[in-house]
Parts: sequence; C-alpha cells; structure tokens
Amino acid sequence: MMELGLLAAAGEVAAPLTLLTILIGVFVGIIAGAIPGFTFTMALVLAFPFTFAMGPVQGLALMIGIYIGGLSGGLIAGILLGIPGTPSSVVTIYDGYPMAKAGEPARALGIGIASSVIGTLIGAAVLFLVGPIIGRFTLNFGPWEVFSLVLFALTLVAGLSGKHLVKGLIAACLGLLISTIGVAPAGQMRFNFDNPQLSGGLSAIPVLIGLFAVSQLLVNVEESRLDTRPAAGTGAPKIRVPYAQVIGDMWREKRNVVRSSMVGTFIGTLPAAGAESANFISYDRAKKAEKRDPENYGKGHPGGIVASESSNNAVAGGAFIPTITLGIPGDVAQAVMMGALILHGIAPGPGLFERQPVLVNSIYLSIVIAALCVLVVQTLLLPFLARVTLVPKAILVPCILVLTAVGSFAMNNRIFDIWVVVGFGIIGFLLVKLSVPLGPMILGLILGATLEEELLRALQLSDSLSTFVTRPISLTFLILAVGSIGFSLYKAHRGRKISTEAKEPVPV
Amino acid sequence: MADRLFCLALVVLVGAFWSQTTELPGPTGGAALGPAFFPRVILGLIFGLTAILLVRSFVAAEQAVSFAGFGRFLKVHWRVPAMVAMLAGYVGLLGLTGFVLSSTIFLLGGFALLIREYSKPVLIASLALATLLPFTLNWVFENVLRTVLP
Repeated sequence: MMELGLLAAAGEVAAPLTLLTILIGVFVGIIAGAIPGFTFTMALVLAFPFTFAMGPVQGLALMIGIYIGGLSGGLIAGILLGIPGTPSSVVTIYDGYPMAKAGEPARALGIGIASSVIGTLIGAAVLFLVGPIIGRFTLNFGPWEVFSLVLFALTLVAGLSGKHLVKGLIAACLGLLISTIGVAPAGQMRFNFDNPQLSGGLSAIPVLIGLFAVSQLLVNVEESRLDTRPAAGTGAPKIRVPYAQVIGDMWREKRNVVRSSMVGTFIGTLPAAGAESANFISYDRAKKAEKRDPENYGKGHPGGIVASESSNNAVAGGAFIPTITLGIPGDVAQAVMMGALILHGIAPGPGLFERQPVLVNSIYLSIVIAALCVLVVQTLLLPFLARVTLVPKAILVPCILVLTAVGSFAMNNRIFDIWVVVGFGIIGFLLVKLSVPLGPMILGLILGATLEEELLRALQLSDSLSTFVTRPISLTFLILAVGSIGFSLYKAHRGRKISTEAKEPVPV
Repeated sequence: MADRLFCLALVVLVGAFWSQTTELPGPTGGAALGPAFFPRVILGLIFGLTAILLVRSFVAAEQAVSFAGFGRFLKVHWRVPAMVAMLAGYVGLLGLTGFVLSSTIFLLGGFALLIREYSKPVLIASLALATLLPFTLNWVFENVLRTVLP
C-alpha cells in the first residue's frame, strides 16, 4: 500500500508541469525570503489563489516550493547585508556577515546553501519515517480526542506566541469567532448581519491576505525602509562559490549539520516554536560542542552558518508532521498550506494516510525535489539573487498590494473579498501596534470549524461532557492544554519578577 | 489607553454578536446543541479575557500599550493612512474602470507616494511596472487561470 502510494506519487510529482511548478515555487520563495521585510509566508498567502486552477498535488507542490525556498532565501540578505531576510535567518548573520566582511561572501553563501539543502533532506527523511507511525496512532482518535487536541494547539500557540498571553488567547478566540460567520454545521445561517455577502461566511484567504500580507506591507511603509538607493558599501558583490572549500567545510561540520538538522526537525513538530527558535538552540549546541575553536563563533566560523541554516530548513519536515497527521498546523505557513488542502476538499488529520496515500507521499517527494531546486537555483542564480535583495521596497509595496487585490478577487470573483482584504489589513496593522499576536488568530480561523464540528459530534454520540476526561488521550490533551496555559503564566510571572528586580537599586 | 480602547472595541464586538445569537433557532434535526451554543462560548471567553486585560491596563499600567504617541505617529508616518486611503480608492475604482486602468492608476499613485528619491533607473522601472504589470496579470488570469478580472 505504502509502496504503491509512493510510486503513484512519484508519477505525479515527476510530471514535467509539477516539476516546473516546484521550481517556480522555489524561485519565488527564495526571492521572498531574500528581500528583508517580506516573508515567504506572505508569498505563500499570495500564491494561494494560483492553486485554484491546479490539482491538489500540483497546488501543494507550488506551496512546498515556496516554503522550502523561502526558508533558505533569508540567508542571502543575512550574509551579504547583515539584515535577516526572514526571522529564521537571524542567527546566520552572527557568522555569515563577518565571513562576508572578511572577504569571503561566496564561501559563506556556499556553506549556507549546502546546509539548507542537507537540513531540508534530513527533515524530509524524518517526516517519511515518523509520519506514518503517528498517522496510524491517530486512527484511534474520536471527536473527543480531536476536540481536545485542537484546544491544546490553540492554547499552546496563544501561550508561546509572545509575552502577551491574554492578548494571544483573545486573538485565538477572535479567529474562532470569525470562523462561525456564515452557515452553522447544522445548516442554519448566522452572523450575516443582514448582508448577503456574509451568507457564505468570510473566506479564510482574503482574511489571511489582509492579516498577513497587507498589514506587513503597511508596517513596511511605516518603517520607512523604502529608500530607492542601497546604503554605501552594500552593493551586491561579484560571487562565485568556491565549491572545493565549501565541501571541505561541510565535511568538517558533518556532526554539526546532523545534530542541528535533528534539533530543527524536532522543534518543527512543536506548534508555534518554529524556525526562529530552532536556529538559536542549534547555534548554542554547536558552539558548546565545538572543541577546536569555539572562540571564533560569532566572528565568521563556518559552524555557525551550518547550525543556523541546517536547523531552520529541517523545521519544514518536522512542521509537516502535526499538520498532516493531526490536522494541526504548527505555524502560519503550515496553516496556509492546510487551507489549500481544505480548498481542494482534502481534510488533513487522522486518517489522511489511509485516505490520500498518494498526496501524503507527494509531500515527501516535493520536499526532496524542492531541496534540490534550492541547490540549483541558489547556486546558478546567486549573482542575480544578491541584486534582488537591493530592490527598493517603494516599488515592491504597491505591486504586491495589486497582487493581494487580484488574488483575493480570483477566489470567488467578487469585489467584496478585496474589501475584506483591506479591512483585515487595517485590523491586522492595528493589532500589531497593540502587541496582539496574529498567529493564534489565523490558527483559530483555520481550526474553528473543526473545533465546533467535533464538539457537536462528540455531544451527539454521548451527551455527557465527562467523556472528554474519561478517554485517556483526550484527557492527556486537556491536561497539556491547561499545562501550556500554566507554563505561560509562570513564564510571564518570572519575566515580570526579573524586570522588577533589575529596576530595584543595588544596595551599596 | 490603547489597551482600554481595544477592550472597548471588543465589548462592542461581543455585544453585536451576542445580540445576533438571540435570533438564532434552537437545536434541530436531532442535534445536541443549537447554532448559538459554540459562538456564545467563544463570546463568553472573549468577554472574560477582555475583563482581565482591562483590569491589567489599570493595575499594571506600565505594561499596557500607550496611546500617547498617536498624534506624532500620524505626523511622521502619514504615508500609512495615505496608502490605506489609496487602497480603498483603488478597490472602489476597480468596479468602475476595470482592473487594468485602476491598477495602473494605483501603481502610479503608490510609487509617487512612496518613492522619495527619483533616479533615472527608478523612474523607468516604476513607469514600466505601472503599465506592464496590470496587463500581464490580466493576461495570466484570463488565459491561464481562466478567471475574468473586473
């Protein structure tokens, strides 16, 4: 069954059009990741409408290409400009930028690209091995377990999304509330406020585009990072990767690359932890494990680039595990991909491995092919990509706003959806200003319908709420949900205590 | 202050949605719960969390988001509301003049608003984009994605 699924998936993914789609996705993702201030998540959201005309495998392949390319693309701006292209490439700067300043930008980029590719492949291998095991386990899940699991994911994301726990929880609830607009599970109309446009509910995509793309573009406008000329000394240098030297560096860092990739994969499986945490932890581990010259970390050590780039790319394989086995997207990028699957009538989560073996196997293969595309595109187009980082945002912002408008319109052919984009763009911008995290809101929006449907199904099968705590797996998830809130409260309390102590005058 | 305004907005939102739930029917077709049950649980949670946030904005005022610099924000970052207004104008124009013309106008306006230092390459790139991008997108959506734009 598994082998047949893999063969059929290979047939679909190896189709020339799908391969071209992955290549385009990788190219777009790298460019989105390379430009500071724009994120591959934004590129994923904007690419969503283009998947309407594609089949599920091809649509997912496009998104995987953008995802993998974007995770890697951040290293270009980080190494050449000292500005992280994406939040997940912050740590790459520690050693990549000093190495570039010391006259070896091509070596730093070569190490970064090689580490990205190896990290992605190790993450994909773990997904291939572990995914089916968890998938089989989730077959035991009934509505009680799924409800408790979704609840746990929401509390975890709200709690870990920043120091503002209450605001994170409010954001999650707002997302759930938005998901209730439209037709209820039993078919009744609700919350249309006498507006016929709201009868079908708010489509997730315009809301996502508004919250994540438009609000981020407005932040770019605000931050005045719109100069049309690069700062002195930041021009793109001439780049030719010294392959032999890079291979030597990678061989010396072979333990580091495996360790960091495993750390990245593990952290990727945790909702809300993400690539940002993975590269900090891997960097710290690599520095502590370095015997020869740990003092050179932060001054242009190859191991620093290896740790950061292999871990943040390995996150991809890990992040797919909860998404496809449990139906719980770990981050916004995964939420968008899950949304794409739902749009094609495929519900990720328990049973997906049995229902859609070809699709699941095509995910593994698409990740592997995307990793190879990253290697080819970044190596061959490095001089061009280095120039992309210097494209003025004053030109990009209006162009991307036009893309957001056309993308949201294309979904239902109605201008109302573009108004939704504008409205949620403003709401998203204001929420960012109020320190309200947007991640939990998106998760609430994507998982809201599942949460309500599973709750109603559970109560239809057994009208007692006690079933949620008498079933061991459901009880475990509920305990974890309470625990995650408790942990967040403890963390917030500890943070306040430390800042209070820091303010107190030191006795003489 | 900003947190308190946020709380006020949430209370209005909760009130508006709650009043709608009173018009919803009860359980039908053997369902255990009606369509109002789940939203009411969510609304209750939002209300409770809003109350906590409101109390904290008074008790731990130093952690609350301040509203003090709003006037200065508008003065320094006037391009943000200007861009929002342009975006709203663009959407309004879409239905009237169609995608290509409205997008060209919006792009030219957007570049004029955001580009601070013009050089010859920037001017050429912006004019080329303002004319070519809407046509290209229109062609891709109509011929490849089979979606007719306004």
